[in-house]
Amino acid sequence: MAIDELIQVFLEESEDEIRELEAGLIKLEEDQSDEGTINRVFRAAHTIKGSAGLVGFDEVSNFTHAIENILDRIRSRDLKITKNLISSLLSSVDLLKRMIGASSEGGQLDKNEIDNATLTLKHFTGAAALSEAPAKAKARREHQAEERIFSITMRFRPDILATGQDPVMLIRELADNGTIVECSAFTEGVPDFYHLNPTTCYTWWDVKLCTNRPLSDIQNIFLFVVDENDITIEDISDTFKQGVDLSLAEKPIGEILVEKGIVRADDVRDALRDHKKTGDALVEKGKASREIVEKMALAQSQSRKIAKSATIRVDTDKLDKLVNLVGEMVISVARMSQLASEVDHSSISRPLQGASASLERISRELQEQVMRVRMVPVEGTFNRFRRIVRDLSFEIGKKIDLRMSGTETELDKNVIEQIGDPLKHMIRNSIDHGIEPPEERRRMGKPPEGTIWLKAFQREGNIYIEISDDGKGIDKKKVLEKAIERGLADPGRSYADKEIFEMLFAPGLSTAEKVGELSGRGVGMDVVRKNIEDLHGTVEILSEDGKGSTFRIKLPLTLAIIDGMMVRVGGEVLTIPLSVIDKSVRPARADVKTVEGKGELVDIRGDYIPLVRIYDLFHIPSEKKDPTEALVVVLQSTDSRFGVLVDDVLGQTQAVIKSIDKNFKKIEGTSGATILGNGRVSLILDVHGIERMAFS
Amino acid sequence: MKGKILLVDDSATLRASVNYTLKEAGFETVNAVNGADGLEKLNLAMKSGETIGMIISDINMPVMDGITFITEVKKTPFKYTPILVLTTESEEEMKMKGKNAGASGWLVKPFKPEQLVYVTKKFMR
Repeated sequence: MAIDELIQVFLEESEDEIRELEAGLIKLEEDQSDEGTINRVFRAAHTIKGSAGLVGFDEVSNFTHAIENILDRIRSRDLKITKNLISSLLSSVDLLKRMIGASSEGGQLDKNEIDNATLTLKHFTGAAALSEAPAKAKARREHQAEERIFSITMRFRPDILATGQDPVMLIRELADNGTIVECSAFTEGVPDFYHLNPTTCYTWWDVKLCTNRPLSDIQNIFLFVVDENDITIEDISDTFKQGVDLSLAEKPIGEILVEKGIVRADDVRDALRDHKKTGDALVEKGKASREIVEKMALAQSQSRKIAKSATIRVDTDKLDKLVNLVGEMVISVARMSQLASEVDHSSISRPLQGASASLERISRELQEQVMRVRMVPVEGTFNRFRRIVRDLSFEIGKKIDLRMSGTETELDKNVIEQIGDPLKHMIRNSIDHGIEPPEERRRMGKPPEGTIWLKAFQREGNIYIEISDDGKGIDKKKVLEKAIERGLADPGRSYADKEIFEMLFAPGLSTAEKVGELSGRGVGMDVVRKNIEDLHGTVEILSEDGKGSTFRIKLPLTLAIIDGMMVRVGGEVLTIPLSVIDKSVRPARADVKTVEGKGELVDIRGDYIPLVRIYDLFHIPSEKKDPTEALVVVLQSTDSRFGVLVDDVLGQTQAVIKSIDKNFKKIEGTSGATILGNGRVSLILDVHGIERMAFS
Repeated sequence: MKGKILLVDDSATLRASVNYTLKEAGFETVNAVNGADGLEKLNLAMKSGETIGMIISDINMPVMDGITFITEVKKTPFKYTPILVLTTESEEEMKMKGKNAGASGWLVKPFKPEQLVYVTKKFMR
């Protein structure tokens, strides 16, 4: 069948459909609510559109599409039928007839005429579509969006081929939707020839696709396989530049080879033992060809080159100065907005307040950006531990695998510098005391190789770092015995697990049979906690007998600025970090009780919590000594809650932390000071410090 | 090759074009003009002992649309026959509907002949 014959079929068909269209439109003018007719008319236009496209009459197809759009709106009752609308549609159908005639003779109508008619039609949809217009425009923008790079990992069920789906076809479809930058096939699952089942899919793929299509288009390709197979699509544009994978710059060659499916992780581990260059060792052992190793090394060095050119080195002093200046600016801006709010003259105050509000917004953004400049990924710090784990575990005859996740998580540069030592200490603890020797693990039914996980992630404005091991867990009995021996615990009392783990942070507690060469669990844990608290962070321990332990460190996103709540005590304004505030209440008379040996308690919805009178603690003269006339702010410490009595709560503020010990001397119970909008100094309360002052 | 291909589409142009493409590739087709007609053709095929190896169906059709048709097919002995949807619809929502009804594949019109042949061969293996 030649194309001429197909066109003949189309001409006959379109004649019928156009007749249907005309008749339907006239009928609609009389009876607007006849749904059957509306559907018939819509379908006629739909068919003409599709068929015209099929025979290559693109103009006809496009113009019919405009008609179809209007009919679709009529169908969904978005557009009301008017005499005017029907007339326009009918004259569009006339034009359509002439277009089809012209196209079938190989000619074309005047483009202006078609454009005008399309515009007339759009005029109708335009009025009704105002609300939808932004969404459409957005969709279009997305479509023309800049090129993104997606990493698509496809792990199929073994019987995928039997379901009529073909992985290769999906990869081809990906290629139709962009450019495949890289395609790795992972064949480690393919058995030897005699065990090979030709209808089983053993391979999995990782495709890096460069495309300007939106993510949804890429997801659609997998619509029919995504449920039963493991398909992940990840936007990795940020790590790609000029077609080079920037993430390679920071990875050792062995890791790259594993990632690309060239060698197995075991091979690299074996090769590492040879104390030679990993690539050379792998080639010598016949695990990878010289060419491929060299190719990957080249990719790695290219990536390093680009990564380098995309960054500039800046002296940290300059950065610190910038941060300080921004801090000063935040204070000045706060001062200005307070002054603006005090101006009475309404003709000046209104625009002044508007201007100061926008200045405040800009300064906050600037501050955020400057803070971000100081942020560094934890990857560098984490990677240092690979070596430590490898060397130490070898030294004491244990097999330990170190796994990491969230290495891209960013932390303030100062925090990173100071967190390294505490982390190292905890990892040493896990190696020395957490993970059992291989024989013992085997006896316990565990794999002889122990695992230590190093995880970093961000949640609710905090950064978490976790060090977990699958070792024997903390021996609670032994810790308690030691604590009693040192007089840190009461022999007559029973303790909750949490309280026992807490004892590990007490100075000078060691539970190891003999203090190990590396560390004794407990020795130095008090220093670890202090280091972390200096960073305004907290650390807690979770542990399960025989299953392992987790150290969880929680750190604020940045050191220099906190969200705080201003409270008044007597003539002083104090700032409490928002992150430790649970709630504030004014207690009723009956809610305040004094219990012997425990001091004052407040009943907060059935929960009795200790009450701390701030004016007492800091010796501030105050009139409001009666809790029922003042306010109790409930603070959450690491694992206890207590209330502090304040005169009044003044409101939220962004507090730029200034060190007082540098300029004055350390004040117990505070972590620094900040300057308020009115230029006065406000002390920032430290929840742990207050806890210590009040209860020990 | 196992049996014929049932093509369900209300557009004569499309039917002609698909018939031509599939015939060139060595397949035989049975045509229906809408979902109801499609069910009728399946019924006839069953009575005459003819095998239908695959169904290609449009979505937007008079009398009975494609989604209803697929849902109905799943109630007949042809429920294991692969159904390829060939339509101008590319909205994800509609694709989901088709998939939930039991479609095995989705091709958006206008189709490339080689693509249709490729998919058809895959289903007709």
